[in-house]
Amino acid sequence: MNRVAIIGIGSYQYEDQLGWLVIDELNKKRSTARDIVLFKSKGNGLDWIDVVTDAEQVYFIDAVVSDQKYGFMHIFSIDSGFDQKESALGKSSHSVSFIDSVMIAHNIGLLALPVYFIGIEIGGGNNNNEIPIELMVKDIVSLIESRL
Amino acid sequence: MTQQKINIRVPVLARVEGEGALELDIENEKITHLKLNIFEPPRLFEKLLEGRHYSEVPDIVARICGICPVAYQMSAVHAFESLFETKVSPWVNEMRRLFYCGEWIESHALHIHLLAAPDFLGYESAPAMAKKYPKEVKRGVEIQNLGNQIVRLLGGRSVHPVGVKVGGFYHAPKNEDVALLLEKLEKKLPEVEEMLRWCSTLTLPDIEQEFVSVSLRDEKMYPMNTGNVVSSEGLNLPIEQYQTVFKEHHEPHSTALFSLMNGEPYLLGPLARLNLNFDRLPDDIKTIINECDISFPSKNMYHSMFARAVEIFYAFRESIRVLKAYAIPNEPYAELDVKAGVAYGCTEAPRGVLWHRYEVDEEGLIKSATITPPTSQNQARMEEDLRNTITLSGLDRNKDEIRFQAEQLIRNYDPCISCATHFLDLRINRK
Repeated sequence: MNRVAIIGIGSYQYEDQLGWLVIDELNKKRSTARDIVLFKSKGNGLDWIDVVTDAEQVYFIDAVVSDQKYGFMHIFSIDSGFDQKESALGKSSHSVSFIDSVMIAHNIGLLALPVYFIGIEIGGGNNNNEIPIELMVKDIVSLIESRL
Repeated sequence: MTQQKINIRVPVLARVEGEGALELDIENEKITHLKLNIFEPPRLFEKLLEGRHYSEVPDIVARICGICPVAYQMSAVHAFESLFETKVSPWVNEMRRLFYCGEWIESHALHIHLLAAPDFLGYESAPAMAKKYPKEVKRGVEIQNLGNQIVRLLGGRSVHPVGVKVGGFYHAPKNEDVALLLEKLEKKLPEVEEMLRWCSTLTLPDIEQEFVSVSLRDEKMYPMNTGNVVSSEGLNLPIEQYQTVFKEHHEPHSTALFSLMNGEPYLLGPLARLNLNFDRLPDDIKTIINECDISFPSKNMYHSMFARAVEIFYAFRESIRVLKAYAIPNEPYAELDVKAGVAYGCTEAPRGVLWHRYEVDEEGLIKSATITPPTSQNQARMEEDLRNTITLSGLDRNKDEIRFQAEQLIRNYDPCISCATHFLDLRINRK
């Protein structure tokens, strides 16, 4: 079984709900050709653990706050040598609780690495050129679809 | 080395839902300034509820917390049912107990294994601890997950569940879903007892202090949904009279209201509950606790973690009991007869007493709402504890020791998931 888990991390606040909106959009378009599991997470703890167990590919989608331009797309693979301090993940709007959770799940044998992280910059500089959140969601959905 | 002056400032506590800070000044081996700021963002839920229909309240207040939405829903539904003089069925009461068990399990398991245990095992983070204790952490995550599954069974989803209505639940779970969950819980129960015993083996600071415990106390059961408000000083108060003793006030250094009981700080949460309700536990659980060589009531705040473990075990047992007796009811909710008046509800959230008050008009619209959550009520006690514990342990220690102790102590209260996870990214300035 070629199982893919896609976890959108979000909250009810403004652009921070981006991860959830991506899941909503994927839900509308979901392909039945593959076994794709979609899940909305609050990014606290390991509420997504059921979804990722046994998945061959795992994607996390989240809003990110770093010094990049608003709308910049961050794409990482998280493996066992991942250095959080050197990445924008250290500044994710759900921050260490998320990456800690990934590493915990890996360290206790419930999540195989690598997993993939796709983030959209919602903070930092240059907010004068804001991009509608719907467009950011569309870009991420296109990217994910191209990878599946 | 004698430290003449230490200033500890944490301007922003990262990774919190809400914001907080710690300010601590020590001068000539005396604490001259100590402020714990827990900044809840101005979420305005009480004002948001005004003009809403009572039936909307359970779903709105669930959004206040991603970890304990059940507590907010339960305090709200009990309030309205009390005002409307609604008689819910025993089935509804049992399902509410099950629902609450799920929340206690997930919240407490998360705190013990991912937030607090690294402090007591000498690790700076949960991932680092997980490398050395994979079995224990995996067990904790699986226990937490089962708590989430209980909440999902009745609420439709584990975060911000939507299955609750005033009068009961929108639907009754299917027999096959109940049977499947019951099987999982029964299979995991021996490991939950192992977890309880494991928690008792952790080396905890041996610091006793005086504090007042406050919790609900039910006539028969360990408290979750019902009971009077009681204290270790002999208070026994119907929830309707809560505001005669407990007063909220604003402190300039915090956007969350402080709450005092007759002008003094007090403790809510698992340790307070267990201190005041040990006799409500089944005898065999008391026996296990005695075998663990920890006694209640306890004056050691660090026994909070063990108290959480006890409550997980108890909640597992309760869940199994309720699920074994499960039968689909004729109706999963009671009909309501809306009345105008003041509604009071009070239940035991994972972190302690959660008190609600609503003024309702004859059409069932909310005229005013007051919600007093446990974390803000514990705020004064945390400051008192920081002052006591840091002083008792010696103010002539180096700043790293003091910083670690402050972090550990605040996490011990489980003020919320995010802020309890290595919440202090401290900058320390020594003069």
